[in-house]
Amino acid sequence: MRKVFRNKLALFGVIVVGSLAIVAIFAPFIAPYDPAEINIKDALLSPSFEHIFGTDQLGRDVFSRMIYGARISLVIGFVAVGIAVFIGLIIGSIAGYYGGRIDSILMRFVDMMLCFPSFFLILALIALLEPNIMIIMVVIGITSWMGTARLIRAEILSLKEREFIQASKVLGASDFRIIVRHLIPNGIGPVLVSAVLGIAAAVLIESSLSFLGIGVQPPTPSWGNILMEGKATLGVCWWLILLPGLAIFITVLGYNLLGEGLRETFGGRKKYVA
Amino acid sequence: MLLEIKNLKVCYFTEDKTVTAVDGINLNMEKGKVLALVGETACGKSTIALSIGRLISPYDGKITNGEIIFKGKDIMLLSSKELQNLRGKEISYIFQEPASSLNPVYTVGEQITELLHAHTRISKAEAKEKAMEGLKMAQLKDIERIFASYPHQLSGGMKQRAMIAMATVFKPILLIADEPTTALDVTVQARIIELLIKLKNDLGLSILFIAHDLNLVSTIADKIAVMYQGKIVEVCEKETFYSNPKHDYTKMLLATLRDLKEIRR
Repeated sequence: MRKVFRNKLALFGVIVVGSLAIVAIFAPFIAPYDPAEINIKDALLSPSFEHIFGTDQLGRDVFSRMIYGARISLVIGFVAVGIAVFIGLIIGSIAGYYGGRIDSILMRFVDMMLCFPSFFLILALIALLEPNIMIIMVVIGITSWMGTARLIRAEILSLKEREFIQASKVLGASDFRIIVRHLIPNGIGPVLVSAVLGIAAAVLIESSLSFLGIGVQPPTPSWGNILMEGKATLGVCWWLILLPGLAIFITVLGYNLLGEGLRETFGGRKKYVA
Repeated sequence: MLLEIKNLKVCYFTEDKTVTAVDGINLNMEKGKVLALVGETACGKSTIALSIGRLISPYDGKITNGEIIFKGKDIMLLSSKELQNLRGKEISYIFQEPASSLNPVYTVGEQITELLHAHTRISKAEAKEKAMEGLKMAQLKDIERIFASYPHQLSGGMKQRAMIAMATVFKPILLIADEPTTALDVTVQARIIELLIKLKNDLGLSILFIAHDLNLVSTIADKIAVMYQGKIVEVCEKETFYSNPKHDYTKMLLATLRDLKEIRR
């Protein structure tokens, strides 16, 4: 961990992700206004001391909305990636451990999933279902587990030949025990790194979906739908576009730098599939 | 008779051909005795060891023929559940390389208690107590520290002792030691052999001791079986082995041993 802090860029990532978490957790105490409070006569005010990020078409305080938006982006990032890692670990470890035909079938399924342009798959799935935060998290999760599956499979392929796996097998450990207690803990490093990078991707996907109007539904604020609402007044009210855009940019950058930093610290291996 | 192997034949599959690693061997083991299996590299010693626990991966090879009767039951007919109960509890293994036989992400204590939990329903405190007992039985000193140490913090001999503690924590009947001292330096080798002999006497353990070092074998074995190219060419008591070898290959092995002594002198 100390190594992560020594790396300046990774430190930046830690600070970004850390402050995002603090902002999200303490949103009700930090936000100066109720994010849903409509005040038509204060609509489209430019940034000032009262409203430091200005107000939108309905006179809502953009700063407060963005602080609550941080919650959405944090929760979606973590839960979606959590689902993806969970599915990926199951499929990848079964494929890697049992090998043979099971491996072929599962890995061809992974290849098939990777053939879909995932964003359009997500669009199609969400168009079919009702867009709400739960559905969005699940859909992002079930369309982004393939990288994890490949990583853990590759780790397990080499780990399962190691003698301590043989040793636990000869001492009577079941397959499930060997996978969960011995193989996954040894191979989890690169998966965690790719998961952090995956959070960045999930944040971007959520913003894009919300921007297209099929993500987080108004009035719930998310950075993506603040952007979408700002699109109408593009060129007039710069703060409705620039500020949420910057927030997304810095957050994604933060996760990516953190992921890179972790990789340099733990891996030494060159590339991870996000 | 504790273990009877009858007409065992094991094949390994490669891309284009099948290799017979063990070719119709017969072997008997008595309770509380040490049977040494000696022979050159790749003659099928380890394959026999793995076959006894039915540990040959179906992707690599197959037991094509024969019976392995352990305590009156044919191991070939056991279900995977029964096999899991057999492995570790009644038949236990230790391997050549203690450094790679221990999982690097867990402490020694965690690994032994994990094994205990895998086979029995006991509380954490009981598991720890049993693990400590096991470490003490393996004649480790400073067991509190070793219990909390990761494998890389221990020396080779300590690791092998920890491995032995793990393998004997359930007081098995049969211990299969596949070249347990080959990776250790000579002074430690002798200590590990002493430990195995002590465990044999204390627990009534039967040991299948696989080695290629005939000097070492003479210190521990009651009976010696010589393997050559997948076949057992000679089985005899230790005394007659060194004084009166019958098979040509055995004579050759002993001759090389004498040659080595000459060179040392």
